[in-house]
Amino acid sequence: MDPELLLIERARNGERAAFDSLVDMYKGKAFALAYNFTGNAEDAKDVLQEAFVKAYLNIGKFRGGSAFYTWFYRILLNQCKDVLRKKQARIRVLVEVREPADEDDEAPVEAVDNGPGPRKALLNKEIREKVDEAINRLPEKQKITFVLRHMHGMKLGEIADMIKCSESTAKVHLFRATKNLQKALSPYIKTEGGGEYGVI
Amino acid sequence: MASFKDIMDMISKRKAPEPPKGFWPEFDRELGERLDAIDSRKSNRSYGFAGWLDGISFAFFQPKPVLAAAMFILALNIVLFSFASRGPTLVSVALLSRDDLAEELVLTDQLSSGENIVDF
Repeated sequence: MDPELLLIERARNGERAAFDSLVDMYKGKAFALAYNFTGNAEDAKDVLQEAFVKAYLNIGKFRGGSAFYTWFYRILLNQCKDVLRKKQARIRVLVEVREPADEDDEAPVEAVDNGPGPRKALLNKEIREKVDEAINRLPEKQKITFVLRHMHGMKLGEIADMIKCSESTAKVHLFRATKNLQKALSPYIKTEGGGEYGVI
Repeated sequence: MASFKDIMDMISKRKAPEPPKGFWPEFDRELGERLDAIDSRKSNRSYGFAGWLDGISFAFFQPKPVLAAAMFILALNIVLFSFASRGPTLVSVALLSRDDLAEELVLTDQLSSGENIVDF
């Protein structure tokens, strides 16, 4: 039996140690997701704790029809929405979360500019800010789909399961999100020789 | 200028955010305390009326304002209904004691006499 399934089964039977192991397995990735939507570590912590508490209380209802993390991410996303709704804020997605530790830590956007170093860095920073802004402006479902697909590498089927829609609907959300981003970033995009970017 | 593909690559290659130092120990401690509290409530809940009461109070203090409000209104309705239903009740004559029965008959007689006086 898959060790994860075994842990889930044990947790469903009320074994606390098994649930703690599940927390350890998913807390890192889940924090990244919570941070992407809340925009700060403190809110991300609160949201994540609340989501784990809800998962603990409701793990008996988890039937295993989907992956555990899809089920848990759904709880987490709903929690993020609740918190942000309370704060009267729209979901904020932060692409840029931290500055790289050194120059090589993160590959710069290629072909941004051939000018001198500081100017190139400035342009990169400007593009990142514009990307953040463009993602933040996307409608909620497009934003969720885009972030989960491109920033968390989830499959369309999993995303569809999370936002409770068909896979083809999730694909449409992703397509529209990509189109909207392309439109919003058009002043910064080199068009020569480049076709349209596919969604998958 | 960057191509859109470059921008998409940049987004996909971004590293996951790192929580600040000391974040995980604090997180684990706080979450552990909350789960411990749930465990102790769960074990208490299975023991009789006190457990039932604890369960109700737990449900009330969950961060679900709508549920809490709905439960409060339900409880209020039950209380109001029980007070409203405590009106005069009918008792079978067969259940009255001899003295009570005599008293009732006297009262009935007086009442009908009184009505007659009023009528005439």
